[in-house]
Amino acid sequence: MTDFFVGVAVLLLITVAAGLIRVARGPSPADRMVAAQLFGTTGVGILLLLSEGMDEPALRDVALVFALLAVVVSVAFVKRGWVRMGLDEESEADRDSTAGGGPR
Amino acid sequence: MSALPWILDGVVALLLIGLAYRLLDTRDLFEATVLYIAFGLTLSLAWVRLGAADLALAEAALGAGVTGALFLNAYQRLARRGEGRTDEESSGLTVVDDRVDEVSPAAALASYGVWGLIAGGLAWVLVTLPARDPILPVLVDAALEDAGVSNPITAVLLNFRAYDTLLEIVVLVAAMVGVWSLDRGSREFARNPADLGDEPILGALSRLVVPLAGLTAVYLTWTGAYATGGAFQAGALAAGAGVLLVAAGFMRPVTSAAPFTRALGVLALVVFTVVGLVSLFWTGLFLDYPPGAEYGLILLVEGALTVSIAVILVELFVDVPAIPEDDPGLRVLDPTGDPLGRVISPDGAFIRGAEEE
Repeated sequence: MTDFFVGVAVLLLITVAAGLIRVARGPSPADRMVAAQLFGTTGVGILLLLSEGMDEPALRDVALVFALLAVVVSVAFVKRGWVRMGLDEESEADRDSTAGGGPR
Repeated sequence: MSALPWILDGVVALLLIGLAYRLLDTRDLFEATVLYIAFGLTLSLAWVRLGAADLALAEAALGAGVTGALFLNAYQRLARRGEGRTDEESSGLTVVDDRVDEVSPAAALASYGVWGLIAGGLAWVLVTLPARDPILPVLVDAALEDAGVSNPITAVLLNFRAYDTLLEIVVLVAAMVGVWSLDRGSREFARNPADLGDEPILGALSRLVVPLAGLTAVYLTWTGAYATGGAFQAGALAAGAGVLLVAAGFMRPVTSAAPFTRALGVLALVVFTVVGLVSLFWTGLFLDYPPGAEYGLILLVEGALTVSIAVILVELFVDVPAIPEDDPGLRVLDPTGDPLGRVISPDGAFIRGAEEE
């Protein structure tokens, strides 16, 4: 059973790694941010699985902290990360696609 | 013996290296910011796999909450200052890259050689180190009975080497004073309460998450005495909740301009020092707690530390220095994009926000 928990954790971690490709490629800040958020959510799952698989109850506290704080960065992003777009783009559609671009 | 833990560790290690490389290599500041957040979460998993749940907890609380928000804040300010220029110009990385291109092959080879030697040396140390320190755990275990707490980490942090922790809180207070002395205008501004009704989801979310985070912070402070937890983890978590409240506009930012903020910021330092002086008179040694009173004193100090750490971390997030006034990027500011919801005119005066005082 331990193997099962750790195995699923590995699988989840690989899906996170796949999501991180989107962080690197973007193109828009929202794409990157959402991919990072995926890590927060999946991280809770990974930690809970490892808590069982490694027989370490303290990891549930770490998962709890992950879950509680995952939202902080999103709110900070929505409230503060969108500066660029408000400066030179008028329409909502343009805001999503052109902001903060960078190398593709 | 299954190979799965090895695969897990391998993936975590590869992710760490890959993320670290990419976040230093990229020219896109926002990408680097997000990658840094992901790096913190991966690092937390690495601590888990190394059996250091305390560190995993601290890394998760700091990395997911305060640090990420702090970096987004910094990005926002940099992006605003670089308005009208390209990413590469505004980040200032182009110049550095040009120099790298001019490096001669011999110099590059020498550089790689030096770094290779350092990496090789570190690898050699890692391989030859004993798996477990032969003396320290034995000493801690032997002294744990008299420590007042059963969690060896808390015993080391707040009893055996309490002066270390005392100096750490001094560092945090110094950081707060440093940020506060740079502050040129971020006084007490909160968003107009009438605007808050426009964001029902944000409101409901904050009402749900913040009390839970506060409860968990109390739990972590309390549980630190006998299990994984402690003041730093709890303080970082509470600070995350505070950052959420401030960023969402539900709390007047706790700037160091307010005497109350300053009092809470230095609370732990005062309590810790007083406890140290009391034990100096009692036992003759600074921070050598009187026998029998260890648990109560440690809990007192832990509680004060949690409050002060939370306040200082939120303060670092909020009390950012004002942007230099001669920056042309200041001519147009997005009201909702400003950390404190202000609009600043080119001559540095507040267009909106100041009259709400």
